Amino acid sequence: MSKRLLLSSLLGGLSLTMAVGLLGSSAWLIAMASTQPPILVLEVAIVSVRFFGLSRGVFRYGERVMSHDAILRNQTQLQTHLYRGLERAVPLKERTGSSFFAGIIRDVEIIQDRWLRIYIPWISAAISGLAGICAIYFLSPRAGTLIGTLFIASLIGIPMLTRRLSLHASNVSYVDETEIVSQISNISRGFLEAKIYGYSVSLQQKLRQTDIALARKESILDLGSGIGVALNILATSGAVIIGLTTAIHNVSQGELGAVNIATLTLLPLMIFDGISTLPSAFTLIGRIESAQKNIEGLAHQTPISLGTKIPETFEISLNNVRAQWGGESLNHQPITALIEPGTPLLISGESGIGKSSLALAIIGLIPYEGTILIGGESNSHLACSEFATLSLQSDHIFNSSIKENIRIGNPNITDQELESILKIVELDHVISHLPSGVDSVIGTYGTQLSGGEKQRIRLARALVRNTPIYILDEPFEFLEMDQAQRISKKVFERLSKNTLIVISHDQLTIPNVLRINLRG
Amino acid sequence: MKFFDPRLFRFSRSSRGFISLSILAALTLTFLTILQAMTIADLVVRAFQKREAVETLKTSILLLIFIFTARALLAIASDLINRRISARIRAELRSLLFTQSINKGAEINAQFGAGKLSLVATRGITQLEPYFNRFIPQLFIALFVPLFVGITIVLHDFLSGVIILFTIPLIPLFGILIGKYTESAMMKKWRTMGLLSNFIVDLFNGLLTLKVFNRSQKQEEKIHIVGERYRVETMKVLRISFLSSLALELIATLSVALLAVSIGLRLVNGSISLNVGLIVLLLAPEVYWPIRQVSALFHASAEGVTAASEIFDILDLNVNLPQGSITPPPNIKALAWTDIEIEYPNRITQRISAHEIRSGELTVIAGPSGSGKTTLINTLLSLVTPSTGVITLHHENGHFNLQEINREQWLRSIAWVSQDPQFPPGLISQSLREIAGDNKQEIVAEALRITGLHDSMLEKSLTDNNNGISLGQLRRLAIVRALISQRSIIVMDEPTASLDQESELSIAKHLQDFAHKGNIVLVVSHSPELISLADHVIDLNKNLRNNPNKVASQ
Repeated sequence: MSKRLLLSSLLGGLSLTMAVGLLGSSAWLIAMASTQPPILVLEVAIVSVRFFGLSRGVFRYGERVMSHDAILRNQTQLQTHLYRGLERAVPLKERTGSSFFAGIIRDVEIIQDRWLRIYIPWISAAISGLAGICAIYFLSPRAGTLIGTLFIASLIGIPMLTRRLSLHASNVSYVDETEIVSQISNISRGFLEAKIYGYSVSLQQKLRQTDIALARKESILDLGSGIGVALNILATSGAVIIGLTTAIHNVSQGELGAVNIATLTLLPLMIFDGISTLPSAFTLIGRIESAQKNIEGLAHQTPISLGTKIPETFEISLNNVRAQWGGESLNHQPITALIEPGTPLLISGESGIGKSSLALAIIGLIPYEGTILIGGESNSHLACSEFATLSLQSDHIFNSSIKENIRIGNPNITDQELESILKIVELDHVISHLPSGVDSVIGTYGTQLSGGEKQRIRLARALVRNTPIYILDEPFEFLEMDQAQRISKKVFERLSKNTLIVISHDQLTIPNVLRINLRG
Repeated sequence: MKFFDPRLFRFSRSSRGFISLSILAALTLTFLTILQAMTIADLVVRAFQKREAVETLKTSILLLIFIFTARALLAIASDLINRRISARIRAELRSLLFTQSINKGAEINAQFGAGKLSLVATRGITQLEPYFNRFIPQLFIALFVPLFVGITIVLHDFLSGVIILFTIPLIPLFGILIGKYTESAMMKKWRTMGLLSNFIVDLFNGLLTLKVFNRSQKQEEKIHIVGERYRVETMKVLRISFLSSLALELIATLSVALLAVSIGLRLVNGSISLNVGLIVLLLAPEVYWPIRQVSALFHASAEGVTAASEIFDILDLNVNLPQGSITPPPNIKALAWTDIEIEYPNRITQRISAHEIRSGELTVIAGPSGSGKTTLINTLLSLVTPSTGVITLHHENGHFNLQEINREQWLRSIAWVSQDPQFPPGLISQSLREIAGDNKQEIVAEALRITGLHDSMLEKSLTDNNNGISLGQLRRLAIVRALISQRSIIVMDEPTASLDQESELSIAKHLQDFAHKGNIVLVVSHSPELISLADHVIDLNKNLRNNPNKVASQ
């Protein structure tokens, strides 16, 4: 909650109050004018009609600018907060594909509706309504009390009712939407296989069914908001009639000037106007709450504690090690090995057995059983990412230039160094054919690279770091044999004095290598 | 920025009935609004000027209650109608996008980038919704309410009618002027905003990579900086749009104030009655309000129209791949191609030299990444048409050009294994049964054995992110699917990458056997096992050089 949001609620309230004032003062102006008084009597009313009219728009403008600005600030803050939380917690057990993160960003946006579409309009409606009721009370305490009670009941009751009617449907529609997102991402990746293996029709039917189910739930949602709007219209009519009859009664008792009958009858029309947008906004609550729950679950991931020390020497000693996910050890034989600089270790084994998890455990990013010592010190006390480089198969290729992608490994790299690394991974030719060379944008919105080209960018990104320890996970995946041979020779030559672990199912020629086959 | 994309008309057909209902609702609302103003004015005049008691006003009060009740019911009905319209259009657009992605998925990905389709089909369509269920109904209201309310005012008080007639065109006029003035600035800002928000998603996607490279904490500040820039850019756009609606609101308010003062002055010299004055006062805002409301919804509509144009860009993508009508012949003896060239936007033109692959032989395609392996496969699958060169199918009694063959049927005759296999969501046993047929359980068991998968795999269920199933297992499953489909042409792209040697060998041997039975087996691979068992190795690297001078222009 911020001052900006409260201030914009206040501005919104003032803007609606001006609308109430506009109708009230023009009703009085016309009623008064019909009694044909001297023009001077009307001057004040004429001025206030103009004032209310002009200031309503200005306050509204202020409210909109201020509230959107505050919302966007909150959004950035929440994103940064989430990034910080997730940064400490990655790697997460669940596979975190691109739809996962797109979902987070969507949730962050949905949450912003809580203030923008619910709290601010509600507070504004409350402020303007109460201001209008004060005016009525001033003219007729009886009408003020009656209309005030009706107003407060509507202000609280209508949104509550709408929320109740639509909460379930709103939650379910959020689930359906998520389902649709996942079905569509399945289609956009698997269109060819769907066609070849003939399941595109059944996929399409399924999508249609989900869409229809979603529409049905949404019509319940709208029934909720429709009933809310309808109740507000009825409440307004009640208030108009109360205003009129009470005014007639007051005038007959001589408690009120007859000229005020118009004002008392027309004012309620505007007082209840602020409530009219609330029902459709309150149907959003279920969605917002689902999004909020998702985000909170993410922000409270248990962080992994990383050490700060840097060892003097860089040999790695593994003793009965198995990586763990969610407190459970992986299902392979525990691994024991001593890896010294100049004597690389090659780990092979079936896919899915846990080779990459082992790599993550060695640099301290996931828990494990057994002991892992680097330079004689347990890796949990060490700042592994400072002196060890892990290159994973799944390393992300960012949507920026080739140069920027490689510079993630080492921001201070010189152009000569970059050039020599590009030669090692044989990307120099590929790059010379691209329109903007090393500055060509790649990734989702740029040039599409082949699997082998991406793999070589990952390799280059790792090599530029020049750390004492290297762990390479399937470094030559998707490369043709001759090329893999050539590049691996150059890479191993470059890393001949480092502590090196290579994970690969290929039979690589590595000088001086230890081999371990991971078995289930 | 446009208010309306004419292409949207095409999709209103299915909801024409509902749109007529929406028009009817707008007309009824107009009628009720006028009646309400007249009744209230009548009540006030009788109570104030004629001092009538509540008892004599009873009929009019009941009429007022009736009007309000009708409005309440109309509110429920029109909400439901509008939702129906948008749900129909949404389902229809999604279904069209689906068909388009099945048919032209490769071109869509090449032209708009991977991921664009799912973005448009989800977020794009969501952005389009307010356009249909708020903006379009409002457009009808903006047409009818001012017209009929305006006529009512003219009938009651001619002078007020004249004032309205002269002031009302100011709103659309200023709206258009402001729109024209801000259009290019808005478009530029929208684009910047899109880039910035993509940047943030990209950072989240790369979080683990950044962490492993010890760069993730430095990026935290960047998220903040980019978020702030996003805010500043967005606020520039919003301020323009809020300012324009402020300008329009001020015009409307000043016009109403002008009316109110003129009525007041004429009331003073007795040239009109209080009844007329009140009716005009209550109705005048109703003339300006719907038109202003349309401008206020302009923001939502601009987003919707932008989203719509992205959807239509994909739907209208008409890469008319030449396609024939001939059913692929059953006994294909060989697939041969001349030197071929394929042009891609933003990429070097791929050249692939002439070769032939024959049935009865295990053919392996090797070559470094970027030498055109995937392009060759796409060409053979008839997903891309070469700009020069021909692919020929040789069968027992002659030959066909691949372009003469019906593409659907051609694809259905090939068993294909991709690098990143996809499956329909649901039980694995179910989706395999649909391919193998019910009585072919032995075939499935055999294929599982060959690929080194356990039977328990069948009981697993695939979801969006394939929880609990590794990429290696998915690749094995894709091989299983290809084997059990019993098609006489198998095409595989790196099928054994990241599998252990035992399975690799078993799969390679089986592929060899299958080829020797007279089938066509084409495998892209750098696996030594596969290459050593191959009857025919095509090394794309040796026979081909990318032409460095021929870079497709951007």
